[in-house]
Amino acid sequence: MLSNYIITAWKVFLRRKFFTFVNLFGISITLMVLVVTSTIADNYFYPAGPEKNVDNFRTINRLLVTNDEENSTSVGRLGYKFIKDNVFRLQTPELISINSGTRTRALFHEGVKRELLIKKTDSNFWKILDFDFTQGRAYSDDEFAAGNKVAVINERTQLALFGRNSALNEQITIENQIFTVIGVVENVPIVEETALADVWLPYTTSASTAYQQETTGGWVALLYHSNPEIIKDVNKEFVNLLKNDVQLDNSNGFTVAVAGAYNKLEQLSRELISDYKSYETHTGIVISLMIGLTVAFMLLPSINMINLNVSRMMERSSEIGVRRAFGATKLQLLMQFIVESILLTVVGGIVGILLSVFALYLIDVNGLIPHAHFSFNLRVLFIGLMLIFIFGLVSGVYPAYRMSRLHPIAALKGNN
Amino acid sequence: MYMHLLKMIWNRKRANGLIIAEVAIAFVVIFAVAVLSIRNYNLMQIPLGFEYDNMWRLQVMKSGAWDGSTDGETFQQIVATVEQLPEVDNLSLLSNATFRNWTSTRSFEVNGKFVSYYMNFFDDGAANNFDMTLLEGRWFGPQDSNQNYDAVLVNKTFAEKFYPNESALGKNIATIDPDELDSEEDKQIVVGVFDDFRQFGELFPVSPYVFFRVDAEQNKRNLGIEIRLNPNVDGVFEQRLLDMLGRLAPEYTYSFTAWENSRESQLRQTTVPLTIFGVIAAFLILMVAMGLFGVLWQNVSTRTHEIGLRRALGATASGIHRQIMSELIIVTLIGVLIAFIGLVQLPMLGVFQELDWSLFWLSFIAALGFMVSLSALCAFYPGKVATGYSPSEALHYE
Repeated sequence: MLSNYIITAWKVFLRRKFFTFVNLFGISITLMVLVVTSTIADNYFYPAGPEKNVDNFRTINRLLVTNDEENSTSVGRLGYKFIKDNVFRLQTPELISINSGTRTRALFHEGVKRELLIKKTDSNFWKILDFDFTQGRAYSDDEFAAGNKVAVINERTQLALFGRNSALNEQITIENQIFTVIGVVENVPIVEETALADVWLPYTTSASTAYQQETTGGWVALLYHSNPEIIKDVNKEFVNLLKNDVQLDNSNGFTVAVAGAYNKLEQLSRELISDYKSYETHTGIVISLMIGLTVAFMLLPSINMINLNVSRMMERSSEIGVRRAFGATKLQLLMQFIVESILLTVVGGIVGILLSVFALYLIDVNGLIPHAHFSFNLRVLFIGLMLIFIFGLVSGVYPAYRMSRLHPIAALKGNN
Repeated sequence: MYMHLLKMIWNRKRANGLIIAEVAIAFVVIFAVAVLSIRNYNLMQIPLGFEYDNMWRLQVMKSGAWDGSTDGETFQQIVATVEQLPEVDNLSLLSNATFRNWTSTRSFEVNGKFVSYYMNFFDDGAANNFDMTLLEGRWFGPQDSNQNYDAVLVNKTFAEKFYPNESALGKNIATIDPDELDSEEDKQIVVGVFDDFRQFGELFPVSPYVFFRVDAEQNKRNLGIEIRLNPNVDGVFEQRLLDMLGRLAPEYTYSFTAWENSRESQLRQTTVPLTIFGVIAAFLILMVAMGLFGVLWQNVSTRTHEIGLRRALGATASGIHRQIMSELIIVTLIGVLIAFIGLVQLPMLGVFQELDWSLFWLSFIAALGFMVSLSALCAFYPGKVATGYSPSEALHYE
């Protein structure tokens, strides 16, 4: 039965090549856009690089401090003192890391200027995040504590500065200090903001120690536990600590602190909604926003396809009439047309997935988005297939319903 | 004739309803593209109000809080040293960098309406060094030191908005804020009106803007050191400068950025998402065009009977062609009307501040023209096919 449907469908597609092409074009382009977007989203939520153990850590990267009257407020990254006084009192995490946000610094090498992203970290940073070293190693606790001038660089920087030669034990000058390269790691994709940099340095090498007195500043805290189930609850403990027992430098009159230890989705919603005054993360709004945008985007291609399919109904009315006259039930006809439209969507879907792999490759190679490196994986493929299926169903059901309801005699005569 | 066409459209309401829905959604997409392109094109046409050629910003950075007395001292030394360099044509101090979204704003309520303006700080020579245009009054000068008021410069937009039909010169702008009306000690007197200083670049709307004065000799704050370099300075200068500063004051870190580079990266922040949106919109519209074309072609081939009858009764080929085209254009106009009812709410409710009526109508007309030409184009070939049916063939069609 099914094979009959497929053979009929195939003949129909070939008979009207233009319609088949328009349908395939619509499906594959729509799917390409959706798959490229979901690959980027997937790479953000389930990183493939150093943040791949995303379930084991939480990030605190934004802090709002204000006074009792709420008329003097400051929002920004965390101050070092705030982290030491508050975050380090948390019981849940096994490891806590302090690291700076990224900054762009000029580096001159053989007379050529290069702009590099610099991140200053402690040694726990390397234990929490899962970097892949191609050469050398990370700096140890002892090297960090002693303030040794050592650096880890990424492959792109290695290639730019030293070409194919080994970068180990080479020297680079950053902010007037000379660092020795002790490790090279794979490039970090741009969506992994917590890990992202070109050069990583121990923050104990900073020329001044004035940062140690700041409440707000340029720092980020990472909280780690080897058991994902345990680290889940760290935000509760942290918010509780902030509400009841926060220690703030009172020279600015700040008494209230709002922050949270977030996973990827929570971080994204905080940045998008930017309601920093509340402890609420608004993840629900962001999820509905994403679903809403996807539906809105799929609306036009779907209506377009429904339109085309409905208008083709007339062409096949005599076929429907014959089948009805020979006793095919409405349900059988409905099934046949749905199978046809799903078949068409599957073909368009395969083309669409191939196109998106190509588009992602172009984004990677052209450097359209700097530091982009998106990997295509089974999860996205599965999402893509789901989308194809929904798309085929949506665009096939209504025309199929209309077709199956044609009256046999009217259909045979070719009237509508 | 048109009533007749409307009746025929109504008779096929289910099929036409879908086309109308498609046109309405497609029109919203085209309208969005039109609004964004017209807005950005208009903004690009307005002069920046300053010259960014060979301008560089030297920023001194310190980890930890800036101490006005000790750090301010060193800052003065750095400025003096850099100013002496032969490669430096001129040097000025500016607080918020150009082509960056660093803002200082003041906003308050006047008669229940929210008003705000952007603020920035620069020294006496800056306006000339940046090649800004003075419209009225004068730039800052030494005569503004040690006065019982703060001298300010305002842009044309500020003057027109807060002092319509009168000169802004000599006005105390602190009194715009109703809470400050009686304040005598906080006088901010306008000494000059300049054309504009579009700090946030070409794609940011023109807004009220105020400069406050920095006394370069007394300054203890950490401001941007804006340098106009000699046009024939080579790339190694930057390295020499940073090396020199590193020896002079090693406790700080420095960044040295060309205004041109900041401008490019800021433009990219707007143009990259716009391009992505534009490409997706183009694909959607292409999809719609092919869809309309296909639907119409199909319709025409199923209406052979009707067309044959009209031909047999003496309708000309061009009459048939006109009918097919007019039908789709009427359907398109109905779709556009539905979209219009939705879109007109945006400027009416003031959802987007920048979408005013002139931008709305201009974009609407552009999008309407595009949509109608698109459907005419889609209807052209199917219409041609319909005129090809000879009456006898059409009446015999099975």
